[in-house]
Amino acid sequence: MNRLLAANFARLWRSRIFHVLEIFMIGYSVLIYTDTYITVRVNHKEYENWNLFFFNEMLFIGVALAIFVSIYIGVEYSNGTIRNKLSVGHSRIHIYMANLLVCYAAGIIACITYSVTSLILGLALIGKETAAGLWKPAQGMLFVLFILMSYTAIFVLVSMSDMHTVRAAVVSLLLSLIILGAGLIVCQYLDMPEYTVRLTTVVDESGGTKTIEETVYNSRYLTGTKRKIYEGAELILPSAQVMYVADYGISYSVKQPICMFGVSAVCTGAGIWIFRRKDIK
Amino acid sequence: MEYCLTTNALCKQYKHDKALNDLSMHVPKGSIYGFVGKNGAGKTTLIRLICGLQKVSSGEYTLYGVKNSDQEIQKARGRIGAIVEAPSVYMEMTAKENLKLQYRVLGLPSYEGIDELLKLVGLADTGKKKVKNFSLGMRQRLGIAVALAGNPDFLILDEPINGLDPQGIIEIRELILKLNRERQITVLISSHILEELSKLATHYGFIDKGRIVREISAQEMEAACRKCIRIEVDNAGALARVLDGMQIEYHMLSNAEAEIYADMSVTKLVLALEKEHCEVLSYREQDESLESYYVNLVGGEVYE
Repeated sequence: MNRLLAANFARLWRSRIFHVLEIFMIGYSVLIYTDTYITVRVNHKEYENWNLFFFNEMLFIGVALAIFVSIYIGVEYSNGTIRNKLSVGHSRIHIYMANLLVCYAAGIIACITYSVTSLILGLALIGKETAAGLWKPAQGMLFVLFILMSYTAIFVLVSMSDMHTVRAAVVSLLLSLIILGAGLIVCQYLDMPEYTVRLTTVVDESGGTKTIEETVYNSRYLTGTKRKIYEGAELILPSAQVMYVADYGISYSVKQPICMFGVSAVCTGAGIWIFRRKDIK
Repeated sequence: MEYCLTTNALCKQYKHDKALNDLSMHVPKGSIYGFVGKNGAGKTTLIRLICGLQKVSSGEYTLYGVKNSDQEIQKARGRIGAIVEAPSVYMEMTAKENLKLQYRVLGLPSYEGIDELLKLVGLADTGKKKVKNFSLGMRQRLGIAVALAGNPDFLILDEPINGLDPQGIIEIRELILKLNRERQITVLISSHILEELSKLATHYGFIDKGRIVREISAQEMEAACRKCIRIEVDNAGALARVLDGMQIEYHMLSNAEAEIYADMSVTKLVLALEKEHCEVLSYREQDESLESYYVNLVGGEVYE
């Protein structure tokens, strides 16, 4: 498999879609930090949650990886070069794993590019506050690797299973948007408080009005089996897990990376099973 | 005879379609094996199976003595270089970059030999030109160069001259002959352009409806396609006596039929036979080309 990895990495460095991914990451970081600079330095507002910017790319990394993986792998099918690998005797498992590992590495490199650019821009434009808040994001790095792994495994499964490059790209993109949307909905429902405060304006004895604050049960609060299903979905949706590193201050349990690893393992197992039985044209 | 590839009752079944049906063939080592058949006869399917792109439904094949069910088959495939349907090259790279990548796939320790390969296929001067800007002939030649990376013993070319201009066809033909003669590479070349194949092949395999209908050497083919007169008489003995007397080369096909390999006067022959009280029942000239041989072999017949 080392030979395949060497070949795949050599292609990655020359790959236009990888260059586009890198430029996009740098561009996004510049956009975020320019906006932050205006907010903090020009409008004099304060930020506490610096990791919001440091891991901001994770919110859309699924969509970016869907495009990258489907095109990077799709080229192998559309140019027919996957045949060169098979006809010289490489096993299908090795071909699949080499593609998976290179796409995973590309995802990691893209995130590192964003983070390094963010750090440089943060220090240059805003100052030491960004570096001071670096400890928390650093804690989230390991979890980010598991999230990236699950995203990569999902899109490699789609791209390796479908020889039609354009169809695989469209399916991957739609899937990434569905995962993103589902993750946001699940998080939104699970974040709802059990009780909410209701403000009611009443007329008092003197004829004036006063506002009464009362705690009421939130009818949209999820309970029982429904809540368990949503919690389960949250654990297996990488887009829901992203919220923990991008927005929630890097607090996560051991169960979460394990679940992300589980998603990766299931997708990779299914992908290899399909690819081994596939008739290549 | 030593074979680099043999197949035995090989079958490939797609959902409702049997692409290969008990196909048995033998590719001798050092030969240029012309694999002839109509579109959809099963040529590409067989090549896909040999290259490991698709799984065999039933039957077996042996590549350099290794059966397809053996784990070692992947190692044996390392001795193959192949172009299946279209050249498999990266369009966004140069010719040299494509070869470098294939060298990595093969795990070759250095890039030594790349320049020589490019020179061999006539692409030494392409420099930084990307493959997407190559002509079809140049891509085809690059495909062959990629297939030749790692010095394979067996080259499989699926329709290598499809879509090429006359100059491109000549270049590919010369290249294949050069590889076979100078490097002793066995070549399996599938095509339905019969005239072109007849300039290359040392052996032929005719495929129809997923089955090999005949395997024949180029020498046997030449004999079969030799210009001759086919004559049918009522007295074969008399015919043989007359032909021997006239010192004419002939071949008796049956008790009543013979093939005569000479330009001769029909009147003289008929008069000589008349003297022997032998009646000529039919007489026709036969000048078979590879094309007519193929048409006679597969045209309209059903091999069930």
